[in-house]
Amino acid sequence: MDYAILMILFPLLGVVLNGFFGNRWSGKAAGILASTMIGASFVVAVMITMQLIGMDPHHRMEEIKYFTWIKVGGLNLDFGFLIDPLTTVMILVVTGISTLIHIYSIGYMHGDSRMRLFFVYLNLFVFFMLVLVLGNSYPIMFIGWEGVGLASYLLIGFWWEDQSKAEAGMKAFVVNRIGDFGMLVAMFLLFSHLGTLTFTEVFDAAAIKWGHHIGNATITAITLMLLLGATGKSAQLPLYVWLPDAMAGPTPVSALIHAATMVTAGVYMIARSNLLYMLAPTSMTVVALVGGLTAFFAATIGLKQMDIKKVLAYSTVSQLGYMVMACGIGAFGAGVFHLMTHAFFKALLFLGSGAVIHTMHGALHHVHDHHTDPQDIRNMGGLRKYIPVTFSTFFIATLAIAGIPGLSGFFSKDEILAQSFASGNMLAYGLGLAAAVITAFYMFRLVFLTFYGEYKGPEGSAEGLHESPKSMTVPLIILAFLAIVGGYVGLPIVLGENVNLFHNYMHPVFAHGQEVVHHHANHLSHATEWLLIGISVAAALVGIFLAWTIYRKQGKVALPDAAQAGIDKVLLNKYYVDELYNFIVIKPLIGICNFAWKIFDAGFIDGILVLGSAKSVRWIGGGVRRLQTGVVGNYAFMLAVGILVLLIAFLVN
Amino acid sequence: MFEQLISDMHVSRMLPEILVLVVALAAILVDIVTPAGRSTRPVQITSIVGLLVVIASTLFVHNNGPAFGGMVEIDSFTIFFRVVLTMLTIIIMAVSENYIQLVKIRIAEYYLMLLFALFGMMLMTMANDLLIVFLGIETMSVSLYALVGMSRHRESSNEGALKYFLLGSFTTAFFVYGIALLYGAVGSTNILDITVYFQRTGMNLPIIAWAGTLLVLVAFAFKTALVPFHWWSPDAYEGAPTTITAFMSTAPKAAAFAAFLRIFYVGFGEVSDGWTTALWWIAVLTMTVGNLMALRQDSIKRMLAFSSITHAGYLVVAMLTYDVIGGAAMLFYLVIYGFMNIGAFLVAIALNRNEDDDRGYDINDYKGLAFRKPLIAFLMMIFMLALAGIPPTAGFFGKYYIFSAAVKSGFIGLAVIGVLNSAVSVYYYLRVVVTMYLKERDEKTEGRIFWKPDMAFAVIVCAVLVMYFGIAPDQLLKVATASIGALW
Repeated sequence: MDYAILMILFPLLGVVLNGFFGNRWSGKAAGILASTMIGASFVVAVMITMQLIGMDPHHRMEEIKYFTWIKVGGLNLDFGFLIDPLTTVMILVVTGISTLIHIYSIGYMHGDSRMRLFFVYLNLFVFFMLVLVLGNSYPIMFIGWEGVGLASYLLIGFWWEDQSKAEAGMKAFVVNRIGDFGMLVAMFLLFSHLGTLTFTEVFDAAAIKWGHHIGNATITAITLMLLLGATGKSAQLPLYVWLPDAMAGPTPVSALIHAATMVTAGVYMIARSNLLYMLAPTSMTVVALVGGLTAFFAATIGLKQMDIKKVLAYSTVSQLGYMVMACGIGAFGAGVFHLMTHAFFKALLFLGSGAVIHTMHGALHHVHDHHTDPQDIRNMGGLRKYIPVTFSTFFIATLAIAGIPGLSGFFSKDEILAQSFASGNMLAYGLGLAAAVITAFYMFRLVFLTFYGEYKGPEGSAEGLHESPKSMTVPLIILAFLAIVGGYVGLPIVLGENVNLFHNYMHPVFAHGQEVVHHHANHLSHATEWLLIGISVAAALVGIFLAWTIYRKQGKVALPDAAQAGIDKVLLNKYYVDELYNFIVIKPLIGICNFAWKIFDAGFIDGILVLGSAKSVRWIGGGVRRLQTGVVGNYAFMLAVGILVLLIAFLVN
Repeated sequence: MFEQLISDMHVSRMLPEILVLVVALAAILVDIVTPAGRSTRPVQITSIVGLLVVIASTLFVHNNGPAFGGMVEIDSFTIFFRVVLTMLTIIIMAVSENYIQLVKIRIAEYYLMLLFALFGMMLMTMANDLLIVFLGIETMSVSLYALVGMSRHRESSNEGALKYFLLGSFTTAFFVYGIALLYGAVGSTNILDITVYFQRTGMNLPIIAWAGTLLVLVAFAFKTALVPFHWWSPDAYEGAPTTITAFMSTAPKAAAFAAFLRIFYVGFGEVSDGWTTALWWIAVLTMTVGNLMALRQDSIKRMLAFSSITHAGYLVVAMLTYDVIGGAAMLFYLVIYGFMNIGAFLVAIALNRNEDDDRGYDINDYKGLAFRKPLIAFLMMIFMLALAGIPPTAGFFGKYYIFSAAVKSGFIGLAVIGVLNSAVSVYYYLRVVVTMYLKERDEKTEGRIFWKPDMAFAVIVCAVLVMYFGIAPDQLLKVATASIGALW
């Protein structure tokens, strides 16, 4: 399987060709080239997966070492890939969805003067994302981890003429740094206790070292630090704040990076480290709690958002919460399953919203209206008639995310809910179920306000409403197909022992961890399983029914921002979390900086240097007399004080 | 008899140092025969070619061992620094000619002072005796004082040089006093004798020995610009011609750290419990204060000057580990820091609007640079990401090695403070990237770009090395490990 390296070389080639020679061809050609490269990576990913499936189920793991990367002082790292079922799921999702979104972008970015740069960044992103999921050690994963952050940051701020977008990029990067801090500390701790950072070696060594000391403080600290990393990248409480702002970037970027791939890196990392988590039950509980609360909390914010992309953004945060919660209750396979189905339907939702915005832009442009917000759902309505392809695919994705049986989202969400029920963590189950009702509600609210009722755009603009070009609608149709059938690889166990192909395929990845802690999955009786399925379906239907009653039957129209009051206002303002962060983190930080500035800089540099400059003219021109009392004296005084403090410290010691 | 003396002294072991002096003399001669008023290009070429010979003599003539009766020690540690320091000096010399023409320095002494400074630095890295350390530091410092003040018509240059000189002399006094106190206690200034003495006494030192150790520590802290002995550095860095700022923040710092390492690891290693606490606090202060000051700078030159204080703090973290892994991490970081910092300074020179103007290095000049000069912006991005410690640049590995070494030696708190600090530093480095890539071009702030072939070549070399050591850090780390091994 040595040819796996091709998977990362193709996107890199795209970066090099478009980056260095791209000015010789058009933006469209750059897009086609970039898409071809990712397509080639997808082909390699499929070949790898096929080869892996062809192997004996118990030996479906291949470690490929390309070259010795670092070998010094106890640290022995190869640059290599680890290919196992978990990796193949990730590479298929990443390369597959990326290919579709690259193609979609050719249409979406059409006419943008910096289209070539856009595709360079996009290819760069795919390169790093593949490094992240293919790497066979924590440091390689971390390189990908940082790289996707960088690419995402460049893409969020892509339209830099808009200051808020550049700021959103900055926010994403800075918040992620807090998460990276956790990752680094976890890596240091792993290395200092186990002496290695290669996945397979780390897991073997950890099983030996802590297998009989489950819940040891060190492993708990390591896994909590890793969780901090995951909360940054996968936008979980309390670090989720960057993701909604990140939606300021171009819509294909939101679909690819901020819904389908990069944000799932945290879930991937937890699933990859499943053995470590199994050794730390406390951390597992924290993971489940963080995930469950995020799923619920973000869903409630989604209830009142007016920007079509903001609704989807909070929905993404909420769905990521489901995945993290699944990991926390030990259902890693279910988490990864939801990661995959979510990638299909959420990418579809984002691309659909992109098509809607594209259409609205066209309509507003038609009447030369540059004030109306094309993303505000209060300006939409009735679009169903004008853009049937976009509508039907968007509707399919909505059914999938709401958890309607027969579509992909149902299978994965139901598996998570069933497993959390089986694990006995009723808080997780309750949060998950409540979030399911809310999800169905806000998604159908979105659909009703956008596609049903009367068109509420500016007068005359309805004539400008047109379906998007083929390069945009074809990816929508393909994703819609996947959003329907993607779930059938993981049918509920209740239909038979061997119908959950996905679960069986993934099982070897998580088996080791379960053996170490003698964990046995709690099996539910058939009756209970059917009951839980019934409850899940009922939850979805309740949400849909409520949305229908309020927004269709009663024809309620969303109010302007200023007219919101009470709990509505709190939700619209996202619980004022940004304001809270501003108050408890950012303001004090600025205060400290200003303080330090005054002491160190304004005091000594500005005050004394500026003053000193004036004086120095006189020193150099006039007498040396002033040197005795001048500024240098202050510096020397500080020096002497420093020495004195040190001396006293020495002697006290 | 005289020949006997020469061979007993093992003078030949100092061949590279002697060559540096020969190069300096040759450069003086070249300057004399060049007609007055002509460019200093011949002097520059003589110096660079001479230094290439110095590197060759270091790499190909193997003659290790003590010389001058144990006053100096030539080992793999010395050789490592000889090569690194000479290379950094060559890079600076290579880009200097066009620059000094631009800022009207135009005197051959610029190169001579660099050569003398190099000689002093090389002496520091091999010194096995406190007196030789003193000699090396002074040779280097006097040359640097002159270099900082080379832009004679510019006030800040004169001011920086004067302050640096006065404070430097002040510290020298402390250093000499420290040596005297240690001599009083030990009866020798040789670090091997000092080690033997400390082995005998253990931690029960007489107070004069403690005070002597402390004063020597202060002298090194001053030369490496550690807080709270850094006061001179912002002024000197700002005042100096920018090529010299790039030089000072890398090579002399590396040389001072080399001597610091050898004296404290070999000489004062026995009493490391005594000085680690002091260094722990110095490390925390240095990392934090440098960062907080850099946060607010709008001038790239000042930002780099303050951030170089922070980087010295990371190096102290590595030094504190007092083992091979930490020492190797430190040498690794010194090298890659040299390249990334010089690279960043050179780009700053390329964009500097007006050397005489305090706002000549304004960050606003970088607005939309990626669309005006994609290559320069790309190279600058590499240096900024490397300085911020983001993979896959060498900067990431440098920091990674340092902090993992710290954790391994039990300095977990220090590593956490260090990682937090480097997270803060991302802000101001990234600000440059944001300005270049995400801000609109602003015709008002666009000045000339001083991008000559020699400059382009040097910057690209730095960028390639920064990326190369990021993707393949292994070799350099091995060399660093072998070199630091000489101290054990």
